[in-house]
Amino acid sequence: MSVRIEFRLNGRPAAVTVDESLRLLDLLRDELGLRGAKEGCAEGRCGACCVLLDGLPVNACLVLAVQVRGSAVETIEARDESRLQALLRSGATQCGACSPGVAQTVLWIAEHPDVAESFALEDLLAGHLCRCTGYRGIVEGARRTIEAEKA
Amino acid sequence: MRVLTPASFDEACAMRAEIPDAVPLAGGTDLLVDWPTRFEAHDRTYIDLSKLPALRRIEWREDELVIGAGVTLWDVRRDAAIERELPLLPRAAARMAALQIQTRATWVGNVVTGSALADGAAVLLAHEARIALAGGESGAESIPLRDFYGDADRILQSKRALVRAIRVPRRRYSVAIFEKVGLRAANTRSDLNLTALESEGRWRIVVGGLTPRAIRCGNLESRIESRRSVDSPDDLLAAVRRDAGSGSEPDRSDASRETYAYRERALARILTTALSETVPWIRGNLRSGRA
Repeated sequence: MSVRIEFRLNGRPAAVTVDESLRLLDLLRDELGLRGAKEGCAEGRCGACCVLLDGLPVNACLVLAVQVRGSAVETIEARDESRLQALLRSGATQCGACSPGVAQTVLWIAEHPDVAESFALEDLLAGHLCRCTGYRGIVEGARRTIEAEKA
Repeated sequence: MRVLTPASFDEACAMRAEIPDAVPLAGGTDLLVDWPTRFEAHDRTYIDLSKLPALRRIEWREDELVIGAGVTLWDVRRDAAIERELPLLPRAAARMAALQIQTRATWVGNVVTGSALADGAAVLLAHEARIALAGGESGAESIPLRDFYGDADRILQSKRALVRAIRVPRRRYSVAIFEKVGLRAANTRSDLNLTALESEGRWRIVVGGLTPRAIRCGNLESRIESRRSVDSPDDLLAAVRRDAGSGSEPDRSDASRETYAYRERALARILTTALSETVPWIRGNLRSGRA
């Protein structure tokens, strides 16, 4: 069945008609042309499809599109590229497949100092798989991003 | 496929009564795994509970903590009061999944899924939690998790009920251990998990991964409570073998990620390591080279 849903997408109202079996990831990429969130594993292990749903990081491959009715979704496309410089300079990206998801989580942590203080950075980043960088650059880039945002 | 969106929990219960085979849906982190290829799941009717504020409540009562059916792993990790009083719940949540799943996955979902390796179910079994049901012919009722776990689908369908909450008894634990063996620190299914709690001399131990369902290890609890010398890991493992054998037949299949023999060896290691770090007299055995 198809249903009409309304939600906020990157700060603006959005209204779309979706099949009820459609995932949020497919809605974003195929219906709305927002290709920043990537499909990696399709089972929530890799974090490449990370978006913010009502202000919290989620895997868009594990959310039905109809479940965002009335919610706020933020994708990497809404992020200011200048805030990603520390990640780039730290060698946190190579092939780039994991980078949008990693960046979403890193910026979210930077925006929540209480979370950054309460939990280990490696713990908060554990949902992202990267096949290129060996993670050192990602963790270092995350640290630098958080420091830069504090300043 | 249909996704019903009740405006209240009462309406959700009414939907459940009307369509008994409708599947309750909250975080969806188990349901949607490999979703594009699971066509059979696309033909069902779901009741989306994820937008019901009444289910997101964490409530303290005099003798129990009540975790609503919509409460996520992340909600519990972020709750300072739970961290103080029942610290094993947030500690286990951190190991059950990574952040992006913690923010969606519910404790009730983990219990209802009920696999042998459901870490949350194992931890709650050790806490002797109860499941609060609502709706259906019998109305509100509470049943021990041990009677619900692994049989959730049949119970919920036969009663035409929904889970409203998990009720966790309040106790002070002097030992609280959660260990899992898996391919990653979090965000991976356990090959094995161990939960051990001690309160006023009484132990509560659950092992997941050795058998088709996680098991409460009464023989192991008695073995430790007896304070008889632990001369080797096999002393503890022998008790666990009796626990595994007294329930369902151990899964000795090699088809799972690791063999039964591997998991048994891993259990012996984490049991002796975890207990020797927290129980002085077992540590004493180790120091004297007896374990």
